[in-house]
Amino acid sequence: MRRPANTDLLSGILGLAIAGVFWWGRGEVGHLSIMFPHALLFLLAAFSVALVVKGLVRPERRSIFVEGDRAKIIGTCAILFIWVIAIPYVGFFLASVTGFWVMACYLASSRRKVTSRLAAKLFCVVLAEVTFFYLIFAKLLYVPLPIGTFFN
Amino acid sequence: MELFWNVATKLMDPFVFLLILGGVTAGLFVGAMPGLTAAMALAVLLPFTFKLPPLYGLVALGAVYMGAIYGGAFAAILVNTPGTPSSIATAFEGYPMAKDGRALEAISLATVSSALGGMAGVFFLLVLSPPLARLSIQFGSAEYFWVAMLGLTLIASLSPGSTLKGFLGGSIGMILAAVGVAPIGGDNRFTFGMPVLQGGVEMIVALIGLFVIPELFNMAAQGRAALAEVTMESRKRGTFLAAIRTVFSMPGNLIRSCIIGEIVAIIPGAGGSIANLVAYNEAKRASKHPERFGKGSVEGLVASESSNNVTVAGSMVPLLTLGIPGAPPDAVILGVLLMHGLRPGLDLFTVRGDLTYGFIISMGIAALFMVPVGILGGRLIYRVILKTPHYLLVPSIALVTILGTYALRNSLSDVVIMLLLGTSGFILKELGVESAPIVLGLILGSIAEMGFVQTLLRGTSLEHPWLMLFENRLSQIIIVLMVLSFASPYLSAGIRRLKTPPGEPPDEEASE
Repeated sequence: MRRPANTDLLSGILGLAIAGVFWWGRGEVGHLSIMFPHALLFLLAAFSVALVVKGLVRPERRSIFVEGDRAKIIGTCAILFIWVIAIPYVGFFLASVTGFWVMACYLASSRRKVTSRLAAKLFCVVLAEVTFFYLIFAKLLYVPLPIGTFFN
Repeated sequence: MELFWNVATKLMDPFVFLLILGGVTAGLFVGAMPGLTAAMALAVLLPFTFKLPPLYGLVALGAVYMGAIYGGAFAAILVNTPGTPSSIATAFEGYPMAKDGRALEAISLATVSSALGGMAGVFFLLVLSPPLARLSIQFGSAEYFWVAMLGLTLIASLSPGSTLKGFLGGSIGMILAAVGVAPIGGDNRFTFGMPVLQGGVEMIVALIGLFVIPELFNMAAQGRAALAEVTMESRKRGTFLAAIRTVFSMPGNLIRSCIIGEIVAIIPGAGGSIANLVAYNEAKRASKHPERFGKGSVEGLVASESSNNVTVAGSMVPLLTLGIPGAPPDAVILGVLLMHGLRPGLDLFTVRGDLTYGFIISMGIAALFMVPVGILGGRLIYRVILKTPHYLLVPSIALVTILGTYALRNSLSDVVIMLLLGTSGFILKELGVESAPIVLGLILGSIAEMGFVQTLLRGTSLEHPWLMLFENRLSQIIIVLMVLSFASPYLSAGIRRLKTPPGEPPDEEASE
C-alpha cells in the first residue's frame, strides 16, 4: 500500500509551475493584450499559494494513481502518442490500423494470453473498423486525412 | 405566427426526424458506456455534423445530448456504473432493482422519467429564454465580465472536492483561453515561439482532450474490473404502461425534481451531475419511506432521471441568452453556434428565431423519441455494454477522438494539443482538480477578457478606469451573487461545524 499523497501541496506546486511557465512565456506584448492575462496569472499564483499553505497546514491526503494497472496507463498513453506522431509519416490509415491493433493486443494481454489466433482476429476487427471510419470521414465528410510523407 | 409556420415547416422535414432518431440512438449508446459522458458523446459525434446546415447540426447534437443523458441510466441500472455523471443517483436505486430482477422495470421507469424531464426542460427553455434574452441586451462589457467571473466562482464552488482546486482549475482554463492572438490589442501571447499556438487552444479540442482522454486512461487501467456485472433476470417484467402509471402516481416528486433540475441547469457549470444528486436527496427527504432509498426505491430513480434530463434543454437558457454554458456539453453546442456565425443573445431569438426555436422544439421531439429507442434498444444496449471487450472499446474511442479532433481544422497539431491537454487533465484529476472547471474556465476566459478590457478602455478618461467595472446596478447585483457563491461553501462548512456536537468529528465536507 502506497503512502497517500498530499494532493493540496502537489496541486499547488503544479499550479505555481504552470503560472511560472506562462509568466515566462508572455512574450513582448502591449498593455492591452497582457493586462487581463497578468491578472489571471496573479489569481492562479494566489490559488496555488493558498493550496500550498493548506497542504502544509491541513493537507488533504489521498492515494493517487492507485486504481487499476498503472503500467497500462503509461503504455496506453505511449501508444496513443506514437500513433498520432506516426500519422504524418505513414498516413492516417496505416498508422491507425497499427496503433489500434497494438493497443488492442496490449490491453487484451492484461486479461488473457494474446495468441496468434486472437491477434489475427483482432486485426480483422481493427481493419474493418478503421476502414469504416476512414470511408465515412474521407469519402462522405470530405475530410482530407493525411496520406503520409512516405506515400506522397 | 409566421415564425411558428417557419419552424413547423423546417421540423416537418423527414430528414429532421431521421437526424433526431439517429442522434438519440447514438447518444444513448455512447451515454450507456460507463465512463463516456454526454460531453464526450457530443464532442466525439460533432465531426459528423460538420457538413450539415446549422439547424440540422444543432438538431442532431441536441438529440445526441438528450440520448446520452438518458443512456447513462442503462449502465447505472445494469452494471452499477453511471454511464454519465448525471446518473450517479440512478445507480443508487436502479442497480438494487436490477439485482432484484427488476432491471426492465427500472429501465422503463428511467425511460418515462427521462422523457418527461426532457420535455419539462424544453418547456422551461421556451418560457425562460426570451425574457432573459431581452435582459441580455442590457448587459454591457462590465456585466459580461462579472457574469463570466460569477460562472467561474459557481463552477469552483460546485465542483466536487476542494473549492480551492476548483478555482485552480478555472484559472488554468482561463489562462489557456489567453493563448494566441489577444482579442483586443492583437499581440501574440503565450505561444512559446510556436506558430501553431497563434490560433489559440480551440475550445472543442480542449474539451475532447479533457473529457475523453482521462476516462480513456481510466478504462485502460481498470478494464472490465470497473464494471461489477449484474445478471439481468427478467423475473419481474416491467411494462411500459405500468411505468407510466408509476411515474404519474408521484406528481409531487416529478414536479419537484423537474424544478430542481431547471434551477441547477441555469447555474453555469452545474448541470445534470449535480441536479440528479440534489433531486435525489430532496426526494429522500420528502419521501414517506426514506428507509427504502438505496434498496431500489422507485421515487429516487424517478427523481434522478427526470431532473437530469431537465438540464439538457434547461442548461441552454444561459447558453442561448448570454453565451454562458450551463453544463459542459453545452460548450460543444456553443462551439457549433459560433462555427456557424451565430452569437448567443436576443438576435438568436429574433433574427434567427426559426433556427433557435426549431432547435429547442427538436429537443422536445428528441425527448419523445427516447421512449421507442429506449424500450426497443434496451436489450441490445445491455448486450453491447456487457459484451464489448474493453481492449476494443478503448482504442475505438481513441480512433474516433483522433479523427474528430483532426477533422475540426484538418490539423494534426490540434490532435497533439488534445492529447497533451488530456494527459495533463488526467494528472490534474488524480490530484483532485476536475476537468469541468478547466473547460468552463477556457470558455469563460475569452468572455471575461473582452468584458474586462473593453470596460477599462471605456474608462480611460477617468482617473481610475477600473471603477467602471463597479459602476452600474446590474454589475453590482452580479458581484453580490458572486461573493455569495464564493463564500457559500465556507459558510455552509462553518454552519455544519457549529451544528456538530462537541466531541464528534466534523464530516469530511465540512472540514474542507
